[in-house]
Amino acid sequence: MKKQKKPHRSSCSQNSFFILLIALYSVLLLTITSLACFYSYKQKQEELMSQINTTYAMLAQKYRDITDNFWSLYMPVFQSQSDTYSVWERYFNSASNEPLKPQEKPKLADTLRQMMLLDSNVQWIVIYDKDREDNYILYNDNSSLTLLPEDFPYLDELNSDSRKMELYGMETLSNSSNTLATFAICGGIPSGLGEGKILAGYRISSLQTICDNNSYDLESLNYVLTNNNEIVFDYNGHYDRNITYCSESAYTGILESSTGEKLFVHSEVCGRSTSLLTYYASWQEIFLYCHGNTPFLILVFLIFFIFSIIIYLVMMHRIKKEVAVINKGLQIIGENDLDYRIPITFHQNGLPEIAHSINRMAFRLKENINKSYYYELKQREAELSELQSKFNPHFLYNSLEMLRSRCQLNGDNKTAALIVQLSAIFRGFIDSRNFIPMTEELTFSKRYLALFGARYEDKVKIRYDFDKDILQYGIIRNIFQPLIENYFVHGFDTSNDENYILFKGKSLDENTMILTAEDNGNGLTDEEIRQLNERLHEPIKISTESYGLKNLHQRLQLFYGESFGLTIYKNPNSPKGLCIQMTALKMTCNEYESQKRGLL
Amino acid sequence: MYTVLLVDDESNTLETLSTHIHWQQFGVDTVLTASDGRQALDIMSKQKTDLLITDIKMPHMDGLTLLTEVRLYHPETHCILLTAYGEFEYARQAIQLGVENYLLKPLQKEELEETIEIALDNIYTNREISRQLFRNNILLRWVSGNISGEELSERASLLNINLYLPEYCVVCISKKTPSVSLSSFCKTCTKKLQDFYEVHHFKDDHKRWVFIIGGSRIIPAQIINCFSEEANKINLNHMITISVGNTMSAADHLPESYLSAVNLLDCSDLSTFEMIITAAPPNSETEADRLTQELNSLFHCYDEKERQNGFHTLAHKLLSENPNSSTQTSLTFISHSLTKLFSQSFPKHVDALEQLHARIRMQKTNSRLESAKSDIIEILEYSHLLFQYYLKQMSPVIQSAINYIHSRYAENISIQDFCNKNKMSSPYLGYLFKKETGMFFNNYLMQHRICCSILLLLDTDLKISDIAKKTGFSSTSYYITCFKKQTGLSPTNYRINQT
Repeated sequence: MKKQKKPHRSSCSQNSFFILLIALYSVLLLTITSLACFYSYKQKQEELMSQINTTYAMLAQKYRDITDNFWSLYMPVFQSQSDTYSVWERYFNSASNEPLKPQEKPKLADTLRQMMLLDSNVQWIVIYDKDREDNYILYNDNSSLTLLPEDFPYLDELNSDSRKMELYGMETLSNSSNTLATFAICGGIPSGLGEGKILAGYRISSLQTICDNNSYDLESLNYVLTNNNEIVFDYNGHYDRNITYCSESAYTGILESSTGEKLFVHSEVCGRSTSLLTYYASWQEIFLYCHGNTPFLILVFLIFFIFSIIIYLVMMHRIKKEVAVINKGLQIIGENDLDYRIPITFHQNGLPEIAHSINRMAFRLKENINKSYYYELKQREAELSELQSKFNPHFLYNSLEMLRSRCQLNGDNKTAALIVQLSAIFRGFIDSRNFIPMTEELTFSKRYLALFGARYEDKVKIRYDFDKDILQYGIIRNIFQPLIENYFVHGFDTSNDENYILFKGKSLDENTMILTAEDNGNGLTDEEIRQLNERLHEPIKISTESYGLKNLHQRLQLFYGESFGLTIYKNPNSPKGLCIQMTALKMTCNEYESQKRGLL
Repeated sequence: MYTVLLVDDESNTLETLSTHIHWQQFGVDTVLTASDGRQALDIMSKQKTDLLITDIKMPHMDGLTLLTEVRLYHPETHCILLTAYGEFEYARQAIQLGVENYLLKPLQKEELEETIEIALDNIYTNREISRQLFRNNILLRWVSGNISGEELSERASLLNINLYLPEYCVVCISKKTPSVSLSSFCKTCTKKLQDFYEVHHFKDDHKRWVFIIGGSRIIPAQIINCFSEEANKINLNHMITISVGNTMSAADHLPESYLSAVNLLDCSDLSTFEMIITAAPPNSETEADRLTQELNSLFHCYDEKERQNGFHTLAHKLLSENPNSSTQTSLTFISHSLTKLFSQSFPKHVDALEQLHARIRMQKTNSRLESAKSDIIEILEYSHLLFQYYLKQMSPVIQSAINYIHSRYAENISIQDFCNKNKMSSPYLGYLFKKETGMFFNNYLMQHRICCSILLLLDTDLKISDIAKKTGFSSTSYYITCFKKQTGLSPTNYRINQT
């Protein structure tokens, strides 16, 4: 009983241990995943930032180049030696407020074209004198000098008095062929020439291209260039302060926008002291972008986790199943069925060894039980022979003979006859031998039959059928007695006058003989015979369970081996009788004796 | 007369042996005792001993050593061994030394008596002492039913006889010509039959060869075939008669088979040249027994007139019972009964039977009723004369003893009473009786009592116990035992069989 519980408990503790292992494993996995996520995030962020910063730097460089180039662009105006100088002079001289002469226009245009050649970004150049009625503009499309339209966007700025170089924000203006988005740089003319301004329009798209070339999936990423709070360049193209965030000073960090959105902002003074180049992006988007690898990592983690859980469950199931097999086996063995063997085809390491050792234990146990049973028999045998050696049979029978002769001398013939009968019974019982010649056993059976069958002498025929060679062998003692008893208790049919019991001894093969008691008595049903056979052949569980036939079966098995014993079947020669069949080894008494000596 | 020596260190045993055995009727006049082997040898060197009964375990010299010595110096002495051991080895040695039997202590009375009787019978018939002696004794006692089941199964395992076969039968062979020797013929037959059966043969006390045949299925035709083939080979067929007894289903019932085989031999018409007889006589055994008994009393009748009348009524009765058939049937019947009577009364004189059969053979069958009757009476007269002749051959004292038995059987008589009356020594009478009649006094007495009881059984409605009392048996059970031994049936069954 103890043994039954033990494996169960250990499997339980084994269970929790497994769960702990799985948990530890999961935690480890989780840590690794989080670390991976973290580093992936960091790396992604760095990558992103460096890319953005590169773009930013390029933007700044471009802008710087443009502003720096403006001077070189502007320089030809001051080349007083050139033949156009006079044209410039005439143009800006407020006194000569007259339209340009036709021959002056191409000269001016040429000069402006030369200026344009110095910077490919220049889209147009305006020469302006607020005192003149007609001012001109030259587009970078090989067209000729045209009159400045009335709706020119930078008119206000041109009309201001400043003589310094100014930068104006993006405006669009359209010439004959297309619409141009430009920002403008304005410079005053040398004082010798009079009052006026030269305004160059630069392509926004040159900046745009830089951004486009380094564009990212970040939707909210924006580059903004401001000059005096005027938007010079807005990558998103809104040019609306309400939509586009504009930084007022150099700043790097996270800010809350007017719409309540968290933004990552970087802005620096660039080129001119009034210019600020800013980029910004939604913090959330950056965060999400940087976590680009995280879902995959988490998925991997989950897959690993689920996989380990599944492995655990499958293994538990497997072990449980196999442990259940062992458990069942133990239970069966626990019920004293020591012939049961647990199958040893297990997948779980160690279980086959356990099953094997349990089987071996059962085998040993059985062997020990058999041994102790055998020892008990031996003990009894020894006691009997001890009794016999104390009780010298020669002395016993001589004394009985003396008693008998005294009785006869006194005329008591009946007592004398009784003494003879008594001695015959003694001869049958007081015999140290366990293995006796078949003829002696048969003689004993006859004596027993005479005692038992005396009442039924007329109603039952005792018959024998023994082959001669069977008689030369020996047999264990008292094998017919239980059969005779069984017959007269169960088989004998009092209503029948033709009863018979037939004892047969036949050879089965070279080594085995069959002894049968056949009758035409009361018999049993097929089912009863089956049950009886089953009861006979199952091992003894309780020592008190033993009864005549079963005891006989056990004795045959113990003496001759497992394959021998008792079987009951229907008598084929009678409508209802039974056959009780015993198998035994062909062994003569001499062979037995020498075997016994050999063992000793 | 014979001398018996009893050897045992236990005085009580010696005393019962010497006093409780009817030594006198066996013709034993001297019963000597010794307490050990050495003493016994001393006695034997001084006096010729015919029968030695000795224990095995004794001081100074044990029984087996004594036996070995006896075989050396007194080879003609018959021996019986007593032992408290049930050891096979002792028994085997004893058999090698040619003992009559070995008996286990405590001694069973019947076993002891049967053994002593058969031993003395062997002494009277001068049977040779050999290793076969023990075997012959046991087989003879088996077929004649004088052995207990217990003793038989013990001895059988010693002799390697299988008692546990489903069927047994007995085959008897008797010689027509006394001069032929049959032993080699019997040996070859046994060898041949052993292929199919378990066979043991021996010579019984009437010089018949007896075969005990056992097997899982006895086929008489096969057995007969074997015997006749062998007989034809050596031209024995006119010199022997073979009868096959009924097949029995257990070893214990073998005596019935023997009885039936012997009866077949006895009642065979010896005139026929047929060798094998299996057919039962037309008249039942009980009828024959009755007629035998009637003839027995008539032959012992000394009144001439009464006897003549008796013969007449018998002949008349016989012929009227078988009116349609020829006189041959009646003749066979009479022959059967007469044979029975002669072999009962003069078992020793085979020539008496031969003379009788010669006379019957001479008788021509007569169809006329009157002449047939006179023929039968003639035969009866002749056989009476023959009977008287053989009776007269015996010494007068034996004749008077037989007369004494015939007239006083119903009383509690014994050989002692007769001897006391006639003032003679009873061992001498016992010796003489056995020598001249071939039977011991007691056996003769018992046979006569049973024969008389048969008449009572058949003709009266008396109870078995009354019949036992009327015929002088001391107890009913003893009567039943004796009856069964002689006829193979219990008195009740015998009565039932008649009807």
